Amino acid sequence: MSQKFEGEITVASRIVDYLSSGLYNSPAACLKELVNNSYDADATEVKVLVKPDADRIVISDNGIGLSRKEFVRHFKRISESHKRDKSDNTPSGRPQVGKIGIGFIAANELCDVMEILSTKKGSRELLRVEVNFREMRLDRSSRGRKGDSYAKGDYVGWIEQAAVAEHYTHVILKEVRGRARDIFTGAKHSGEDGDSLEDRTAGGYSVYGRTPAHVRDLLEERIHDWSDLDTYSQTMLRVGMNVPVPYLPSWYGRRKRALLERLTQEVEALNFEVTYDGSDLRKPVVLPEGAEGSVLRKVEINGANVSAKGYLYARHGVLRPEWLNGVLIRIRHAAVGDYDEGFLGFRHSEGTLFQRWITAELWADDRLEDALNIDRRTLRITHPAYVELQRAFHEELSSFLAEVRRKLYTDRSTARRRTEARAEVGRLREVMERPSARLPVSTKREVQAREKAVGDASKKEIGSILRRYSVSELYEIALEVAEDTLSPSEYRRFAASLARRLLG
Amino acid sequence: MPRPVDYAMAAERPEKQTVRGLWLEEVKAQNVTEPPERVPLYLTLPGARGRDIELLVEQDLLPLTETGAVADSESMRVVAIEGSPEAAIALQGRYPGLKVLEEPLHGLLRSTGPFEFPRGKDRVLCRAQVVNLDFDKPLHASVEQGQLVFPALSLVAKLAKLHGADPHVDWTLCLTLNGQLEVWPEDVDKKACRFLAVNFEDDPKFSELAVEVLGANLHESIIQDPGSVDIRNCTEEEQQRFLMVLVPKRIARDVCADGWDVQTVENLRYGGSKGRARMVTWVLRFCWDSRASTEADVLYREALRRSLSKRGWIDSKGRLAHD
Repeated sequence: MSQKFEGEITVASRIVDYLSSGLYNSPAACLKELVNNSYDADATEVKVLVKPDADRIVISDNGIGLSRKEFVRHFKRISESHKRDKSDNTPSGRPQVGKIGIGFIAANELCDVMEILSTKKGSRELLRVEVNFREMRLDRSSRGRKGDSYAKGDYVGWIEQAAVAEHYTHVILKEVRGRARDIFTGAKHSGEDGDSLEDRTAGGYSVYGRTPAHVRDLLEERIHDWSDLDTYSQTMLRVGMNVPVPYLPSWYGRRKRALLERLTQEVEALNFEVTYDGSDLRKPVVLPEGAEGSVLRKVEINGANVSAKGYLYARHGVLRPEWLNGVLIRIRHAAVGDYDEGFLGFRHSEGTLFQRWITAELWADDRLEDALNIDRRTLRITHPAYVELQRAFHEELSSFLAEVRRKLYTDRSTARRRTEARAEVGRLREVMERPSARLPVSTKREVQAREKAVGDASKKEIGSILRRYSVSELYEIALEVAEDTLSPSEYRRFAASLARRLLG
Repeated sequence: MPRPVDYAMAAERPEKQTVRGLWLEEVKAQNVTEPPERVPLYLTLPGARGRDIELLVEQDLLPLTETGAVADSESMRVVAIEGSPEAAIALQGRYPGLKVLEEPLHGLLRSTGPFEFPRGKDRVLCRAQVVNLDFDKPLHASVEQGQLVFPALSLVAKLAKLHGADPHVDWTLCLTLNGQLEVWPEDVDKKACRFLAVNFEDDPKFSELAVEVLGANLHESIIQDPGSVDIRNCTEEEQQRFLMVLVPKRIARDVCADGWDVQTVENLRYGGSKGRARMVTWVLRFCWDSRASTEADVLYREALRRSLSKRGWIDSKGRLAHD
């Protein structure tokens, strides 16, 4: 006779510790989690305050706020999100970004102490809680709690008075850890506070205190890569790249682009404004028109396991800032890591040159969310949704590369040669029109007609016009013509004179 | 939720505007001097609204970027102290990049006690060229082990010690207090009167000047029988005048031996009309004087006499007049 037994599989406390430490690869990755929390709280305005010295960092929003009960529920057990208990969307209808329930723990990587002040609309309660992450770094034996539950940090809270109409959450990161503080602060401005783009410091260019228009100009004209920016600016722009904020003004140039205009409006309709030390945070994407044009393609993938939409964009020559070389996937308007310069594992042999000309953004539907790893910056490459997206995207990319080759390379090259050929025939006509030439009118007309016909000339004809001759070839052609048209004595004189002229 | 102090500090009362103008003049005056490296220009308790900081911005004493953030090169030029996290966030939201120390002044200065002082960056930030302590509250006091203790003035003495550390920084203190003394316990009341009586006796010149501030009757009562004077039952104006004599005298006593020559730029009272609180405000310059090591008493007496020479009042229309 068999005995039935059942139970709950619990995660050992130590695993939680390891996980949280390895989740985030930069302070920006931690900070964007907190900003996305504000988005999920239906905030329309978020203030991130870092400067002057990142001794304390504030993320303040006008969202729905957090009650004592909700706080306790969220923090009682890490990695159990209750955000989507009732709906995948926020009360205002936003698709919620957070799912796993570790967003707040990102703060643990940045600071030793986190204070939360929050109140909900219609409530007179002001929640004030201090979470002490330092606790987690104590000796293991002194951190254990009953059973398998593991305390990342202890908290202490108070309920105070709030005005009924107020609703907000202030997250204050205190005792910011040394390395994170250095990165958040960035290099100091060394020069005067000018209005030009001359904001380069020892640590790189800074976007502190700059308007979006100024940031756009800086990205378009000066920034080649992340290393051109100080770490303060890198962090700020990386957060902007990840969270659902609008695009920079005129981010795709002056040319009318209905597709990009629509995307711009869709993101703006989310009504999510973040200021970072007073500067409006924007996605650090600029798609400047190359001198030799650009190619934009709408991407729409409708598969059995995933759907996605977005764009592919290419311009002649290396795209800058170089962080845009790749594809950025967004799920629920939050980016999955950075731009993937490998284009989701695209064959290296195919179009290597052009890959540095191309950038893409894809908004995938919720089914891809299941493929999202806990770090929120990578996807499980075996997940059916990812596999399907990858295949469809690669097909689109291959076709796009062919279009780019044709439009920005082959076609442009043919057009350039046609122009050169026309100029060459024009120069020939000018020589023929010299008074000393005294050529018959019919010959001149023939050349003029030929000049006009260059526009329709075949590749072979253009090649013939632009053909380069060596001195010996030229001499041979001239002698052949002279033999047909001159008397023997004139021929001899011409041949001798031409040889002297060509040999200098 | 805004606190009463935030409303008070943000208020557009004409008297307060005049006081802010005095602060501004001091900042301008100190701005032209060359302090040791890393010394902030201005340390203040500005409240959530930061009206005094607004003035500095208007006068280009605190440059901002094109987005209204404090210019990076000036980031430690102005330092705000704000114990309320909500008010600190509101202030920093208004002036991103502003250095805000989110703790009460007594926390920053490590209590009112004389032994512990701030260290590291906090110590650097406390040594500003102009320190503005706009307290809005009455001068709290107690008698401990037979001695009068004024916590707010103990903080001033600690600031003076910090500024006097090598290399010393000449500085200005702008101090504002509510002028009402009903909150004083009886023993404080009597002790404070005795304290003044002893000093009047010790320095006849100071006593002579004090008559003009306190009025002959109150002055006489303090000298004749300090134990019988109940300041709490005096008129509100008399309470203001009492503070105008007591506070600069006490500050001079506390700091002269440390090397400071205290010069009173203004010693003013205001408020009281239209239901407005009665306030007292001072602008005191602390100038390093090497005589302190040998002639501290001379320094002290000079400071004492000067403390009453710039006395006056600000009327309800913001007009300043000296006695």
